[in-house]
Amino acid sequence: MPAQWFAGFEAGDTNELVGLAGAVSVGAAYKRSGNYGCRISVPQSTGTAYITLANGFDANGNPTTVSRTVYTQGFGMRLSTLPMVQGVWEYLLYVAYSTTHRASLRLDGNGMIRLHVGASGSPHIASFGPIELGRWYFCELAVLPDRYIWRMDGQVVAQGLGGPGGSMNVAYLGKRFNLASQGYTLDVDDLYTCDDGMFYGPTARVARLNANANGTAAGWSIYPPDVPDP
Amino acid sequence: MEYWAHVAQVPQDGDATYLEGMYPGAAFNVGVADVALAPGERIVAAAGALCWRNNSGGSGRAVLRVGSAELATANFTPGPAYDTVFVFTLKSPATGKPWTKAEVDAVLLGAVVYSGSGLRATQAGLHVLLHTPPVVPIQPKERPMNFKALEPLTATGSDQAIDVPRGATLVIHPLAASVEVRHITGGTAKVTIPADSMVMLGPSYGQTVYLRATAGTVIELGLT
Repeated sequence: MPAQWFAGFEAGDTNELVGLAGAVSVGAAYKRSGNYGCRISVPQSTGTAYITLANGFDANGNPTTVSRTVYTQGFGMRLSTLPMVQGVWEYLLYVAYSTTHRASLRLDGNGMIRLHVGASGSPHIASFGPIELGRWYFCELAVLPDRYIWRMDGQVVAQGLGGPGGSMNVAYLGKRFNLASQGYTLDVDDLYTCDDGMFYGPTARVARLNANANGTAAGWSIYPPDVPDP
Repeated sequence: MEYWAHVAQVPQDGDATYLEGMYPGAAFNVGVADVALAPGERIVAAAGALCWRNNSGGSGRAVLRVGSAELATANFTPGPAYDTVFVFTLKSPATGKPWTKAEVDAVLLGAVVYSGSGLRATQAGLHVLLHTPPVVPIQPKERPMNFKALEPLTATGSDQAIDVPRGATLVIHPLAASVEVRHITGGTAKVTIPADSMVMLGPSYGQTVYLRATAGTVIELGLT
């Protein structure tokens, strides 16, 4: 099965996410498509600001994280500020098994994004940039047991042989690990995750279709109740 | 206020407007706006989104319907704060196949009380993941043949110039003895092609190359 989850913040909230921390907000000014997008303001302190992506749903319909050997994600991203300390990086995307690093995209203060696959201390495999501030990009990363593919705006940045070192069950945008005095601001919208190497490309978007008609059942009571005409 | 309008606010308005399920078996559903697709755009997945909470001890399920076909979450007891749950599916429950626009337009979203009472729904809608597959132009399987055989060169023991037109590839096949290839006549730098082997050099930017072999050696040449 390809897509396992998606989010576009079109309900005006963060309920599509598994979790979040810190300065994360939903607003019209942060949208890539539709009516809403999400802003992650990673603080300059050692505090955190991130969102946790899902890659499935539980039986009750809650977005959840599932351990998989393949983890593919796509997301629209727009940076408005970069890490404040030159030469020091932040996690942009962090793919992990629990807290164990499997793959990451790391953002440098010079606007370069670097791909790391495997152990967190492994050298970067490829880089992209410098990123243009204020411009939407569509980033897609597929991490498979034995290979990886990274695309920006539908163009392959890197692909090759190399595994993450095990299964993956969680991905974060904006995650940071004890990196002080930096911070950056990231807008994200139109996110999806897959359990295979499927990419939907930069045309991917999430739309919301609001209730606009009565259906075939009306057994629930309304509030506020209708007030009869005098 | 229309019935459906009680679950139509975005962002959700909490207890300002809602529908409440008061007895086991009570069901509601509402229709959603038609999806507007760009040319070539496809529906990857759909997720019915129901924002609800528990005001008592009730349990129930969120339901997505297309015609008489239905998908639902498990029956469970929501918490006391409003939260959104999703009925996610890659395929239409009506056909078991990828969603069509008509099926998305016909979706009904709602909920059913399983036990107890006091389930409050304040928002219902359908989220869809859309994308437009790239259009891949059809590539012709054939391309014009551009091979041109040149008259065989009989080596003189000295450099012999061969002009290779811009964009062309030179095919060299010395028959009985090796041939040396230089880019400057008389130069020391060379590439030696063994006898009875064929080498292709190019594409050329419009270069003259120099071939040298033992006098009398026949060198077959071609351009492609």
